[in-house]
Amino acid sequence: MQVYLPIAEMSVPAESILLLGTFVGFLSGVFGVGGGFLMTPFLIFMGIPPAIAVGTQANQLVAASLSGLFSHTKRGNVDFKMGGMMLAGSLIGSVLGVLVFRLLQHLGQIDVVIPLLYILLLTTMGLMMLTESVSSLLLKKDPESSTPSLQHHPFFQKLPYKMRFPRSRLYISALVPAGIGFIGGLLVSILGIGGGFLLVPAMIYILGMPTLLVVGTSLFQIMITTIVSTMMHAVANHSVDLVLAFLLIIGGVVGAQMGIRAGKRIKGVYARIILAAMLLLVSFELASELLIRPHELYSAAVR
Amino acid sequence: MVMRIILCLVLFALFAPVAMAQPSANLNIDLSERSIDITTGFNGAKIVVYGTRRGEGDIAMIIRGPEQSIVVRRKSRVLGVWMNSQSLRFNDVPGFYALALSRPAESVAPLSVLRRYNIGLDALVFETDDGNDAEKIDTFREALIRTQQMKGLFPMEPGPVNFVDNDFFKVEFKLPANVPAGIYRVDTFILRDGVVTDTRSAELKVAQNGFSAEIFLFAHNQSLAYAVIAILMALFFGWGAHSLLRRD
Repeated sequence: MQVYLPIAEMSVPAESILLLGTFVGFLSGVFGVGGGFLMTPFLIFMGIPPAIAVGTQANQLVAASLSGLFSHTKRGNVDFKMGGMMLAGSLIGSVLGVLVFRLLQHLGQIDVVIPLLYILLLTTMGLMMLTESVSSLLLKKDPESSTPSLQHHPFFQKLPYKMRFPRSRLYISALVPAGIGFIGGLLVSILGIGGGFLLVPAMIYILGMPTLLVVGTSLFQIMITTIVSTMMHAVANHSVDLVLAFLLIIGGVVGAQMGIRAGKRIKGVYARIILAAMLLLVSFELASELLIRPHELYSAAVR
Repeated sequence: MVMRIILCLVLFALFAPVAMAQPSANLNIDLSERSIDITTGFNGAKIVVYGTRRGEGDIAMIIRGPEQSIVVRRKSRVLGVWMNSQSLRFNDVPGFYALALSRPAESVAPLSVLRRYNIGLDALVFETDDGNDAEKIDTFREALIRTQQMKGLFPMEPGPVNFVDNDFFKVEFKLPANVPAGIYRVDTFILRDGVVTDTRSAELKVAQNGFSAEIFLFAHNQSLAYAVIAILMALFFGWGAHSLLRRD
């Protein structure tokens, strides 16, 4: 069934959008990541303008992060003070990101920069995750028990504005979580992804937060950031498509249910290996598009 | 002076339609629809143009969507990566264009005549304000036509003019699902010995309507309220998903 997207001003098959939402929801159920890294490229591939793909994706992430946040809050697995500090950085980052996005659009390079950033991020994260999970599988050790934290690195020790975070039992400079949040905010605005797959390891390895608190705290930060980002995209760019968001969210809700059930049967290490392989696959696909001579060298866009 | 101009315009507006309907009436057309609604289920539309001609002559018919400003970009290899390098902006590209001919264009009239009336893709000339590099403009113009063809917005080749009898004809145009909204114009020409002897035009309105139009207007006129609703919808479903999960 074809559905006309009023903001994107184009008609798309509703089934494929629902299916995409379900698939991405499934992934988020299994792996606990938002899956935006798959959704944005797919939407752009379907011909949806990058600005609308990114803006609508931000809206969809609000729903995805809230449903995850509920269960973490109930178990007390959210460090709101730490999340608040990250939020301070991410709000600045998301405002700056919207400006950068506009600049790149103006320069006509948005469709090169988005894939390039994806390739950089996905390859790095994919390789890190793969080596970590494969080595933990081979050595049969619990990876969480021996996480080398960077918080004691002299650089992070010297930073000013030290603060106590009782929930995480940390005494670190507020600039570190704010800096991590800043990068997260940029990612939301430029790439339309929550950035959970980047934030979670950063919080473990750089902040040295207890693993138990990491996912809930990052979801809290992602939810508020995506709310603000949706607001800005809708007001400044008119680039949030309600019909598209609705279809993605519905698919996501169904997919997440199935994903969580499937996730209970998959061992954590294997799940991480599969996720790493998927990150690398998407990044390989994007890279080949940039590196291989395209069939059509020309592209046209309405201004 | 201003009053006189206005008076002239009013008089022209009053009498022009009469004046246009009056002459020999070699040609008459009518559209199956005067307006096309883009609703939530919109999946393209078909428009039929009926026409009568008096006497012999070739029929050419074109339909043009609203003019758009389109930037064409060319990729080239920079540091091993294919990225956009050159670009050229065309100011008056029809957002949709299709044509129907009773005979191949080159046997209907010389290119100069076709150019004047924008009959055929070869006759479409777009205005650009950057650069006077004729060769570049030409290759970018061709690329633009190619990309528009791939999107189904420009025709691969002219459609037929179907004659029901010698004087009565009809032409079918298919508008794809991705047509831009706006005012469309249907221009019909009758040509004899390579000269346009009569023309008729009609307008067609393509607009978002119903639910889809409401959302579009809401998003543009009350963007803050729109944003709040988008966020509330997401929060509602996020909460809904959580409570569904909890039941298991």
